[in-house]
Amino acid sequence: MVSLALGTAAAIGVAILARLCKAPDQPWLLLVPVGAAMGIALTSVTMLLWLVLPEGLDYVKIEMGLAIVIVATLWRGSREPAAGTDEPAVLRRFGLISLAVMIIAGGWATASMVQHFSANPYGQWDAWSMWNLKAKILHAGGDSWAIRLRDGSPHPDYPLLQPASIARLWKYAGTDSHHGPQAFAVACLLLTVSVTVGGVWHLRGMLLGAAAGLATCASSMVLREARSQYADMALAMFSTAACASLAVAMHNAAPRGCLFIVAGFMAGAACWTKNEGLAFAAALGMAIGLGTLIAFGWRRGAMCLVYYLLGLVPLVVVTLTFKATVAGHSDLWPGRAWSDVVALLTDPQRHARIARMASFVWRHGPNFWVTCAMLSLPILIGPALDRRALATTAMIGTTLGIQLVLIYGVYLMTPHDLGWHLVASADRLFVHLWPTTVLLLFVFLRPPKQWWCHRFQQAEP
Amino acid sequence: MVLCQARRGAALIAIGAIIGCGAWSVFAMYATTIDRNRSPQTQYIDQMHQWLEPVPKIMSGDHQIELREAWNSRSDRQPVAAYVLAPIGVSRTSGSRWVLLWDPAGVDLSPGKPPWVLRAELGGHMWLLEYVD
Repeated sequence: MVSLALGTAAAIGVAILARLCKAPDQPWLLLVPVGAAMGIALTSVTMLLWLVLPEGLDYVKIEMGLAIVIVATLWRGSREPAAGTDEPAVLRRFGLISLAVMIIAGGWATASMVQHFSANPYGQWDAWSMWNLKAKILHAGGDSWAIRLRDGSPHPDYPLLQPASIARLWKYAGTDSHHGPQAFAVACLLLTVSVTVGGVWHLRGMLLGAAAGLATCASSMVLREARSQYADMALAMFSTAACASLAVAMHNAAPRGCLFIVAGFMAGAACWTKNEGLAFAAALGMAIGLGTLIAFGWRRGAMCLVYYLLGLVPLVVVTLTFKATVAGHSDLWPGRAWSDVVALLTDPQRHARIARMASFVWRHGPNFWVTCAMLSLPILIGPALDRRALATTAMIGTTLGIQLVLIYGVYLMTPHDLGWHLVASADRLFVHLWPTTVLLLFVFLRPPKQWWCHRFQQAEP
Repeated sequence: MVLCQARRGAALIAIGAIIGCGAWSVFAMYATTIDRNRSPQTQYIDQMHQWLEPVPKIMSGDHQIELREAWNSRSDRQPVAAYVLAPIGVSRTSGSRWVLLWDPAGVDLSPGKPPWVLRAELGGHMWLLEYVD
């Protein structure tokens, strides 16, 4: 039943995207995983709406019925034959082999999660004491779920996408078994990798797509966080989906408005997942505003920003409504004097401690050899030099940069013990940013037909 | 042209390195670093579940606030900057109700109650407290 719940959510999301982006050359490689992520975000909201409806209605039957109606009404698969790839045959062959290796590695990663879950079904501390506890409150809290969330769970201001999604899986299963949070954790890891592969494959070919997928999951921190059952992998999934949608939207000569809406929706889903998502959505909005203005001029640039905001608004409204009506105050911003804040900002020891932790995360987060090989690619393959590719790279890079600055500021001003705050969150921050960093690096590369020699293509039988 | 082909070859080797090292690192994590044993946290939760009957209904938020205030009002305890995590359960032997407090700042909260065995595994930040209705 848990698989059925995830499949229903994915079907709803993919059907909506198929309708929204109805051009014949739909980037299916990206739209399928992004659609699945969109379905998860949408159904987390319907789960919350369910809590305010009268009791006695069968949530599962009604949602399944709605899903069938939505899929039957909105599904518009491309009737056009798939566009022939312009990738050289040699690269396609290497690509197929690499894809097979990546799928096997994905299987290993999933198997390692399942093995870990069989020994440690509750996840790590925050999963047991916070994320899954919130899900239990939504699932079994009755009429007073809002009071219990505010007064009975730690960090009551944390958004509810993950708890609501898990509560929804429990509704389908009919019991609050461990399988709900575990299945959600596996789905988040696989969708994050799929979004990275799909985006890079669509833009830079199968070989680089498979390499990007392996670079994403070849990190001990990523795999550890994925099996912890925390919300950080979900945040990484939505932020990567937003950036991949943006990259594909910018790929055409005329920017594709529907994909800017999708990017906005994914950024909204990031806001509805964790508070860091708000920083991400703001950073991406600023980058899109500036980047599309430079790439397409003020008129088209303004339209791109409007599309992004159209997608962003629904889930930001849900998040802010939750914060205004249900959530308590944030523990990060208690009333403090400005002089205290300035003292924290100007304390050199705090800067040094943050720098030491950043260095630690950089040394232990990514796989060393994979990172070295990845960083050599811009030199060996060369960067994409057309204006749209440069604008895309600049936009994703700016988004990452603004996020880092905002998070650096949070660390400087945190009311908690800085050492504890860094230890408790720095590795999770890496997980938020790593898939987008991989995406950025691969989007920066020249397309295969540009870097593969013409003579090699002629030599093909 | 030779330089161009050398660069292409090097690019393919780099991509192959990403794929090979990436797959190997995922496999190595699966083979060596995966935690197939029950972690201290899991053992703790298991022990707690053995000792306490899970509460069928979640304790209400009002009760949790009362509990926190009652704890803070006691002169022999340091004030709690902690969260009441609830719901933990009902003791299988005495029938009293228990909740879990989490104190991230590491304040010395000595409840003077068992179970000390469980406490040792929590790094001083988690406390089980008896809850009296």
